[in-house]
Amino acid sequence: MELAGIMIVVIATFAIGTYGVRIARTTSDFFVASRQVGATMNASAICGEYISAASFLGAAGLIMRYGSGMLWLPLAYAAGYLFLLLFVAAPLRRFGAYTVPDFAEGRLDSLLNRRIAMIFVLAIGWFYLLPQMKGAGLTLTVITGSPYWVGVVVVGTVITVNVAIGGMRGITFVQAFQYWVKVVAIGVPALIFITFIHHPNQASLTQPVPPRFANETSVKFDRSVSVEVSEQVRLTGAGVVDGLPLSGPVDLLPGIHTIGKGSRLTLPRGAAVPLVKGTSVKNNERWALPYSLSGNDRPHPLYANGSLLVAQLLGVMGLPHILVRFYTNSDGHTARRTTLFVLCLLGLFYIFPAVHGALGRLYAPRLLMTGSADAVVLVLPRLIVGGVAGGILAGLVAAGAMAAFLSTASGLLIAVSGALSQDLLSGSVRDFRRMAVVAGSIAILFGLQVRDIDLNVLVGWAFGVAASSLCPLLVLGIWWRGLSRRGAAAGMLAGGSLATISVLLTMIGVRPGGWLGAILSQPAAITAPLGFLVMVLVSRTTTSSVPGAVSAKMVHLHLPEAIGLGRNWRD
Amino acid sequence: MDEQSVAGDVLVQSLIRAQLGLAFAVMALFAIVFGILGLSLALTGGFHGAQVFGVPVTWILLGPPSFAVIAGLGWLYRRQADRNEQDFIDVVERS
Repeated sequence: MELAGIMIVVIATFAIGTYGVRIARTTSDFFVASRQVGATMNASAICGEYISAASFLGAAGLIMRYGSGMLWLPLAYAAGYLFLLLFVAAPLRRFGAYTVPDFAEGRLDSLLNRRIAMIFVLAIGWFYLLPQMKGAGLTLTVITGSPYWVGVVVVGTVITVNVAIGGMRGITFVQAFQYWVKVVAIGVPALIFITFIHHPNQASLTQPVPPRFANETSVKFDRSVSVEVSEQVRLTGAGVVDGLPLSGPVDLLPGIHTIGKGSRLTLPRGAAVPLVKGTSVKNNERWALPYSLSGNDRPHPLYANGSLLVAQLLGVMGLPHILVRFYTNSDGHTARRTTLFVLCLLGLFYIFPAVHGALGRLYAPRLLMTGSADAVVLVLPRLIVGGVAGGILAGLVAAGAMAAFLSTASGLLIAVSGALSQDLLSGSVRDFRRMAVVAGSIAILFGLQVRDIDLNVLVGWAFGVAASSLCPLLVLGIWWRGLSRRGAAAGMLAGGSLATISVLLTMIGVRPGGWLGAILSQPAAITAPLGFLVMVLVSRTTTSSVPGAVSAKMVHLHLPEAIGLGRNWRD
Repeated sequence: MDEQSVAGDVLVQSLIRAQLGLAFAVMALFAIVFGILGLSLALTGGFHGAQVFGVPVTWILLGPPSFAVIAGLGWLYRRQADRNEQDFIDVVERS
């Protein structure tokens, strides 16, 4: 059933993509759909592109583990668009550049700034592709039991081929379609769970008790984990516990225990769930009420959460695959209207992950023991509904997950290969296709390496780099006449490279404790203000490199089209 | 109206200032609403664990109502931003 759901989404994606490519004739058509996309269609497409594996799978997983403190996460994913509406949407469209590097060049008359912006488009694109690849690997593992790399390679290939043949026109229809797939796939099961089904243990979710297994549960471990046992529990099954092979039932005393890869253990009904050490709130009451950030081995959890929120609020403004969609609006008014629709459509989607997260703690607590809470949305339908209906819902959810990484990864791949082909090569459609294959292959290779990192941590990194580099460039470029070439370059480099370096260090396993560790693993709260500050200070001291004709550029950015002067900088 | 004229430049500057002021005002509103919500939830432990139909109010407040507030702020901004532009067009066409 799940495989059927996935196949339908893949086939429909290809079909709509090829239908679109027949309409696309010129290069301009191919890249930005000739700016003829209506506001409703465009808003659906933006949401389709934006709601990624981290939103579809990861948000529910985090809420399942950390509870009410994580309810801010979906809110911030949506609120980023409010900031985009306030500071970027209409002026960016009026300026009429195709991409962020185009904006950097047009606004500052500077090839250097164009190149720097391009480097960050690539960095953000690749960081953002990683969680999509992880989501793909995880989903196919849960559904078919295939190894992690199979999902990464299969889905990565599907995306790369589709982007290479479809271009943007095809993708606009595909993205709009996939937004609705995702809303139905997460919303319909959630509504069924809360309206038609009685949850006998619901009250335990707000009581000061640990999550417990509702039935005797067999748990399979496809990697080794350290778990924290809170109450003595009797295990049966086969595998390796604390380095010793299991022979017959064994009682685990409270404390930390390691379970070996490949173990398959059975825990009795009513047992307190041994939780993966430090990745989940242990007590349901603390989980349900604010702010359940204890039971968490990250240093300075409040800073980490706050910094992630900063990254989300400011990062949306700097996401290259989202910004390119704003050029497909017909004018500045439509760009605002589109963003407002986006806020409504995102609100509709993001009310549902909390339902899955809460019920997951009730029905699928074994995921807290194996450290794969990101899979909660996928496994709930069969656990709660069961039978044929559960199978159908499971297929629907799998289709939604597939749509999530297909759409986001396609959009990112277009942004990355567009930047590569236009800046390094001639910018022809053929170069674009070649670069799509190169970029897609690199994403697959790196996607294989990030299996053990939370989806939302991975996405948070991309947002953090965007918030520290492209966001200051856009906001100051749009609103401040005094921005100089050197200031813009220095600000992007300071904020963006510090954010990128922190993320890379964390990725390769450099994780010191204390404040330094907290900042390195979630740098945006420091690096985003730094990007703004450096941009302003350096611009103030290098007024000679303020580009000429700033007034004319401000006119292009801010004048309503009705006045007749709001031409593009290309004209 | 000519792009290069001094009067035109002053007019455009005033439009930009109006739009930027509006953006900061809406941003401040956003910070106030969610700052108060976050603080009151944190300080009262989610209004002392109060529940509605078995669901803690924290989970309800941070759900649909909050998304409605965000969309409402967006609606407010768009209406006012379009008005600012219409005022600007009126001034330009009268001159």
